Amino acid sequence: MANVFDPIYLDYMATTPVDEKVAEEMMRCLTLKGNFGNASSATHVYGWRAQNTISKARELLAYSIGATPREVVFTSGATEANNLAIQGAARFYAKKGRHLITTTLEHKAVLDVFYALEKEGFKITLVRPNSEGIVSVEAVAAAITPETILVSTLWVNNEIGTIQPIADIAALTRERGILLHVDAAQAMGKVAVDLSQIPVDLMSFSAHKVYGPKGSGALFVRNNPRARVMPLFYGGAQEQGLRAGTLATHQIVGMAAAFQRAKAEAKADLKHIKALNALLLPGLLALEGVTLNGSTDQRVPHNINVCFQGLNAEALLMSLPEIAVSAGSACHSAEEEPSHVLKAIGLSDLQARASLRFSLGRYTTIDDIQRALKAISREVQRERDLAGK
Amino acid sequence: MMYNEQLLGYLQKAVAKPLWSEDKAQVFSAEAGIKDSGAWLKLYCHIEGNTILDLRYRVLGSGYLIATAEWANAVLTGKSVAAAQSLNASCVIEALNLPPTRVYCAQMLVDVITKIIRQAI
Repeated sequence: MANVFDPIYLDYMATTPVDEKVAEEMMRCLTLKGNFGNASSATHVYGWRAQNTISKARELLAYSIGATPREVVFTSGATEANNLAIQGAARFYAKKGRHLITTTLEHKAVLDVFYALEKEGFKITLVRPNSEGIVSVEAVAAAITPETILVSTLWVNNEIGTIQPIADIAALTRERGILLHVDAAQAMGKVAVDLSQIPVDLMSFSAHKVYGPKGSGALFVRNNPRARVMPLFYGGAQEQGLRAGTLATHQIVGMAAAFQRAKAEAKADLKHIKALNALLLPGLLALEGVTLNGSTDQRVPHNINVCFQGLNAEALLMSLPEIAVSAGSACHSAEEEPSHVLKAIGLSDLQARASLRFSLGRYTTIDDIQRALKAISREVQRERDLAGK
Repeated sequence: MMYNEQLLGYLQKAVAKPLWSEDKAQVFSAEAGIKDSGAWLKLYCHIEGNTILDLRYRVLGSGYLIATAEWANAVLTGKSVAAAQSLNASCVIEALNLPPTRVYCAQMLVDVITKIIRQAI
């Protein structure tokens, strides 16, 4: 339980606490009393039990995303899943073509993979979003060449929460016979994910954004029509030879339980988050010089990214010990450079440095929002006074 | 990035005290940086004789810059002009434990104080 003196946590897009019930399920796979065996140990009951547990978790996770169990490859997180999808597909289909497409809105776990492949000789195109933070299907279509083998885009942006038109992009890539990878690390639990309905070939998932454990992720690899990827490393036949290494039973069980709960609680979670958003967003926009970054309607309500025009977000962060929020993506918020996502939607360096991301979650309360707004209002006024505005 | 407690202390103490009229005798002011660039500091010092009686400021920028301005208020108020003259960027960096990327805060403060002392003596 959080200490009463701990800051109000409004950084759920950075990570979420593990759900208590998920943690209980994970604990059952760790100790001597529990299901601790190695799923690859085929000669004794400990191994059989672990394999059985993983099979059930795989079924559960597959069901929660509208896939079949065979289409799920467990990884150490979305970063690895993105690498496996992009590097793996690029290398597998390199003889077919060497052009790859992604967007300037991506997380570094995708962008950096593209830059690495560019150094290997692949040609890359980065499609720009509009000022709302949405990449149009027309812009993707315009970037396609006869050499294109892969399009990769995120579904929900981690910094500004905008929702990309995945169904339209998937229809386009399927029609053109190009593989589509979607980074859905931020999508699960926020938008309806049903892979039986959208023709995406590869999709990356993360557990810790959905009240599951850190260090656990998965890559969906479509079986029909079959998408192919080369493994990133070797050393075992686990995960159909795509991901060598002993399966982390507790992590996999935790991820599956978290995904099952996300699907089961989707309506209740969404209602709760919308109520919080309906309080926080107008409260922030009522402050002088505050504007919303990204689309007002094509975004998840979990995310509010605002620009405090004429102020410095870092100064606000430092002056607000009562709340835990992020200036940009948590994965690179320690860097000095302004957010590449905010710059991609047309913000100046100064505006990007004046922006903060608030992200809401299952455990955020109305009281949290009221207290946060009071603190933010106080600090914004103080810093405007200090700046002589 | 972790912030040190001393720096946070100065940042949290920072307050926009009412400014004196700039044409008031014995009040000297100077600024550094550009508001539109996101880093700007203007210092006002009430100096009588050889003593800095009071110091006020307006600042726009990171928490480090705001803390630097408040630190100057805490250490220079009541001190002699000679003491202010001896201040250099290294002292400020050490006192506030500024990281390398925030050294400019110390340089801005020293620039401003130097300009003010030039006017006052």
